[in-house]
Amino acid sequence: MNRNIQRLAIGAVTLFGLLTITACGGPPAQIPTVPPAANSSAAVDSASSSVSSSQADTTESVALAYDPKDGSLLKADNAGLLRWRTDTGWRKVNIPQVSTLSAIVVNPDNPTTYYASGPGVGVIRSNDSGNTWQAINTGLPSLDITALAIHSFRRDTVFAWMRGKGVARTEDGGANWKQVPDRGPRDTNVHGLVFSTLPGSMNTGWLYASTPTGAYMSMDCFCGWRAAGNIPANPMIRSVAVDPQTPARVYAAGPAGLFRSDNGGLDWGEPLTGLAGKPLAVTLDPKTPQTVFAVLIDGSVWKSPDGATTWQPLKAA
Amino acid sequence: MEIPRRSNNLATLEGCLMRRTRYRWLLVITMALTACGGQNVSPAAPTNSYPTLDPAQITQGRQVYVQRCASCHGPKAEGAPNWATPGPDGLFPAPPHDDTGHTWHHSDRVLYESIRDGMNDPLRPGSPLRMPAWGSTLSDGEIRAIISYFKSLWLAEHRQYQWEETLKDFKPTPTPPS
Repeated sequence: MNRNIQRLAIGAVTLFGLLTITACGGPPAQIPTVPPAANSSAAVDSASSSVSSSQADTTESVALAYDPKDGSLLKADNAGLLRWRTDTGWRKVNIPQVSTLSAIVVNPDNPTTYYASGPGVGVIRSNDSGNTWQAINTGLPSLDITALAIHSFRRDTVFAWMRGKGVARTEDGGANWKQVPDRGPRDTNVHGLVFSTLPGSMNTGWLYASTPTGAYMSMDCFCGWRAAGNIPANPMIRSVAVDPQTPARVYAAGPAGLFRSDNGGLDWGEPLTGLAGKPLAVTLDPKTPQTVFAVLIDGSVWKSPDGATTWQPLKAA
Repeated sequence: MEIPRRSNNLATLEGCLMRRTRYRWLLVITMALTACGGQNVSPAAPTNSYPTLDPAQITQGRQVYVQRCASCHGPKAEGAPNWATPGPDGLFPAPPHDDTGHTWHHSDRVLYESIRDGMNDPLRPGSPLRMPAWGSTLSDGEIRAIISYFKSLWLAEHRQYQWEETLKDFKPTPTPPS
């Protein structure tokens, strides 16, 4: 009898554990391990975590985000996640098991919330400004994510571009994802996404996509993508930023320079002057959108206080 | 050969143990589920299934559609040729309203207002209407009937998608005149 009771007790404890893990969805979602990108050109000093960012012209995703909490800039690319502060310069933000990223998004209304993505990584989320991360891939049809965008007023809505598959959307902060019915732009090599509240959408706004053949835009009902103007010299666009207070003002960065549109991307002016090199990515302070930031190919950081009219380099102390 | 009978005492004890075992398994399962803290363990089933359509309204909608809309959107709502390819101006030809198009991406409000108010280039406010505004020609009931006709062309999953878009629309759907 004692043996029977022992067996029952062992069985009960084992089953309890199995059932608990199964019913609760298992341990916290692990971030998939992805080896470093073979073509990473950013030199990373792992001892000091300081980074000398130097990236040649590339079609890989490079994303820039402003963290209004401390005024730092975040850059996601094939060197992972880097943070720039005036007192430190570029510093690597360590994300366990992840070495290559494609996008970084900061929730402007809750700036401790970051979303990042990468090829083979899917989407990861941090609720503590990048100290800890959790994979949020439930329902995501592909982990090969090349771009992310956060909605302008539905902050739990995030869009992800899946290479070869199109757009997925979460409406609950990443707890669940669904692929949206969308054919994608003519060039599906999307390596940047940004949301805009530009008027005229039949839903809640627009998405801009940056691609090697230019910028494209679609309403977020996904009724078709159209070219966002034309930049004839070299149409490749790496990065797009939208002024959230004046959404007709759009910035686009690419090998041909930094451009500004004041009609939602229908027309673009000449390349803006004042930057001492080719821009790699552009972003702005969403609360003070006249403050625009650009990172150049040599890794230098530039700031404009007046909507990209004048620029000054930022020097790390 | 007589099979030795188990003692009544043993049989009673085993029966008792088996009954207790059943209860223990039940208890274990209950505890395990309780330990999850009430988390959903499986995706919630859709609680808001799309409403059924009125066949008479569909018939009316098809008649109005053929009379007013088919010349641009196709007699079977299949859309203009190459409707998915934007022209040099970035604008798209008249889209289909069947499953192959994107009409089902839109809430009831958007569909209603698009028919009532017409459509121009959304990036060029004030530009000429590319689709006429039918609000002064069609009655409220005729507009709703056209939308019902569209819905009758869609797969169940697209009906459900469109219904969910309607439910989460940030603006209310226009109500019929009393």
